[in-house]
Amino acid sequence: MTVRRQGSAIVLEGRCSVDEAEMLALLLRDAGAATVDWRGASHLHTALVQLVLQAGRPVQGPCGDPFVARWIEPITVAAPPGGL
Amino acid sequence: MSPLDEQFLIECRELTAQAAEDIVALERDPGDIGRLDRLFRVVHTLKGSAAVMELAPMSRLMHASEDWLGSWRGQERLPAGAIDRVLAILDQTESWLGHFEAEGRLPEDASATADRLLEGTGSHGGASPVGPIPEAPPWAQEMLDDLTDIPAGPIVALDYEPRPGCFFDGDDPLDLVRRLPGLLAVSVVPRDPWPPIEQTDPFTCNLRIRALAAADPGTARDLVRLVADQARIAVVEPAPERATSADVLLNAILAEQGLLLRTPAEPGDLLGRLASAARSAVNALRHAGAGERADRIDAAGAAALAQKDPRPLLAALEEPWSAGPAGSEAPAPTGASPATRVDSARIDRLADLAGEIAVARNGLSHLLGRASGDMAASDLLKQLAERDAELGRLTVVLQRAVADLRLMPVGPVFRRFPRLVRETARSLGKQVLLDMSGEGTEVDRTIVESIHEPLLHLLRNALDHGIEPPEERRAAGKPPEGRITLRAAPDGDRVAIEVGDDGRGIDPAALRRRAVRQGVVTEAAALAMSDEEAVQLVLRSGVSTAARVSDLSGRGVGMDVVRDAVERVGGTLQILNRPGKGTTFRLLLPISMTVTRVMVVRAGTERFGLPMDRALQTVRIPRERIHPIRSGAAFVLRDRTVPLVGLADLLGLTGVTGGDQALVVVLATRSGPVGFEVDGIEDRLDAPMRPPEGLLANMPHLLGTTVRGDGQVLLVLEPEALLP
Repeated sequence: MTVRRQGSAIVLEGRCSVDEAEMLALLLRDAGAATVDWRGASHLHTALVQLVLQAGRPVQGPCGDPFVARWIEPITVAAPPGGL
Repeated sequence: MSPLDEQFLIECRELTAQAAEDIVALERDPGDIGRLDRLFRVVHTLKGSAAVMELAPMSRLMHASEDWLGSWRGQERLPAGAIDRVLAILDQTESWLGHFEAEGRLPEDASATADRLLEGTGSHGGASPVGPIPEAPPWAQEMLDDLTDIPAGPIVALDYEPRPGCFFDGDDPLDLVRRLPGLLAVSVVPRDPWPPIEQTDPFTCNLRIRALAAADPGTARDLVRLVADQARIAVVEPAPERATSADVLLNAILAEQGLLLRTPAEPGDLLGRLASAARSAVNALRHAGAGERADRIDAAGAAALAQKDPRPLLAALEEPWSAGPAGSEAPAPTGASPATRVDSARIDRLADLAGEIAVARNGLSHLLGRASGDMAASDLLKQLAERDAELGRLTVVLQRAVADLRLMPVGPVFRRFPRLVRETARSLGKQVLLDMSGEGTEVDRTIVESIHEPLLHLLRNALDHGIEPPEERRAAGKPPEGRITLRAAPDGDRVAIEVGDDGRGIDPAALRRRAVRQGVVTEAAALAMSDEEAVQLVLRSGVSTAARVSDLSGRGVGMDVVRDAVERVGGTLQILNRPGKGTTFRLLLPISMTVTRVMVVRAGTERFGLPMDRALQTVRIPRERIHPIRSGAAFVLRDRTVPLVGLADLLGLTGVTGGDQALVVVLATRSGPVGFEVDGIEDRLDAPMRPPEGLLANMPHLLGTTVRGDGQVLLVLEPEALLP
């Protein structure tokens, strides 16, 4: 599983393909999921990046996908270091 | 015309030629799914390219054609008139490309033309997907202004609004952006305000992506080709103060050389430093197009080396630098050379070689430094000989690599022919199959360009005179459909290109009679010829094989013209004739040719070539500045006295010299620069040069001969040998 809930965090791991978008959208609808941790994601499909941007949840970085870490992460809300 | 436009034109012309070949092949075999697929892909690519260039009517025409072609799949036969219509569409596209090349846009009526061409196909291509965009979108300029570190070179702006349903097409828009090389900035914003997350459809793309990248515009456009209706690429003009970054760099390089020279050096090290500083500065200046100043620094460097004193070079380095080519007096070379696609592996090989040559030269510089020290003469000689051998070897490899770079396949020339054969055969009421092979055979670019006309003529000849009408073929026991073969293949160190037909062949007796009647040979001579010899008469000026002058190939252009064209590039033309069974014309061509740059000058009323690689510059010298010295004359050029000789005088011709200024070509000779006064400079050309042959071989002042574009033979002079 590359998209899963762990405690109050949504964890993205490995190659996250477009098929994962539905699952991520579901998890993001739960107000209890406070942060997105994408440190372990090696590649993120646009659909998932779009959801993270839209949801505006604090993000635990740096993203494991260097492109996302370099260009997308700066426009997301950073989670406090060490998680919540 | 920008490199991007050029690339677009080259590509589209290749593609239209390719498409024409495919459609003609489809006519023959409508069930050839591979061909149809290829045609479909070609049209698809044309559509994308046109969209990228914002040529909406062309993009729309291609889009509609693509739809229409798609509807042919799985059909037993092609729609009526389909072939002619596709050919008409391709013709229109080529005509548009020509218009675009000349005027940078499509004609005003392009959209209406597209509608007319599409009438009755059931496809209209919809509205144009791409409207015009400003040259430099304001957002891109703002994004650029926010950057602190802007690399030199082109900067492209990508404005990409993926279609909402694009995820379903398998698109991953950010993945495309990440493949853009040299990314400088990325902005990702919602296209429409975000809906609440509870109501969102995770599979609808709602993004607008903008990016800047220090990338080649062509690469960027290639990248977005498949989403050309959703993405736009523009080239961002750097702000004016950034345009001078090359000057800044140049000044920094020059300053650095000054610094190097001012740093205290061991005596043995000084010469090496001088040579290296001068070389670096000259290279940088030449690269920046400042040839004049490069020449001055080169001369100052030589003076500094001779005097073992850095001061002349320092003075030259530190003279104030003004931008722009400083009054270059030589006319710029004219005439655009055709663009060529080059295999990148060949470029890599050249780059490697350039590196090796640089290493070899460094070795030489090192040796130069040591030579001024205490190195024994015999050691020095030995090591110099080794370096010389190494540089010699590299030069040979380099020459071969450059010759390879000039090789290109004959395919693009061949590709124009199937259609010609189809249409010509139809107009003559004949059935002809063109069988081509060896399109990948490579020869020098100059040769590829020069064989089109001769091959065209040979093909027309075969169609017109070779292949018989169907009834005549049947009567002769042949299949009604004639066959013309066009093949290229390597033949030893040459390339053979053959145009053959299975028609009636050449009748030697008829040819003999015609040659005699036309006064080309005497009756006795004609009768004395063997059949093979008689057939060669076809290549003689004034002999035509046809009984009547046809529209097609009898227009006063004989086979002698074909022979001349082939010989001009150093090839030969042979005829293999089988009466009643067909004729094959065989062009045997060199694979590569050494091309020499030649300046065409006039001495008196005669024209001569001078080797461009010896020419230092051309100048006009006022007569009052020409001073008689002993029996000759001289003038001062850049503080240097240069002897002056008259080219017409040297050649024993009467010059037409007059006027208050002398036109002088300054050439490098072993005894230094010498000015040759000429009566005119006419042209510069890249021409294959042949060594002097026959009587000319004994003339030491001839380098060789070459043929001008108008067919005139030009003697290329060896200036050194002309001097008294």
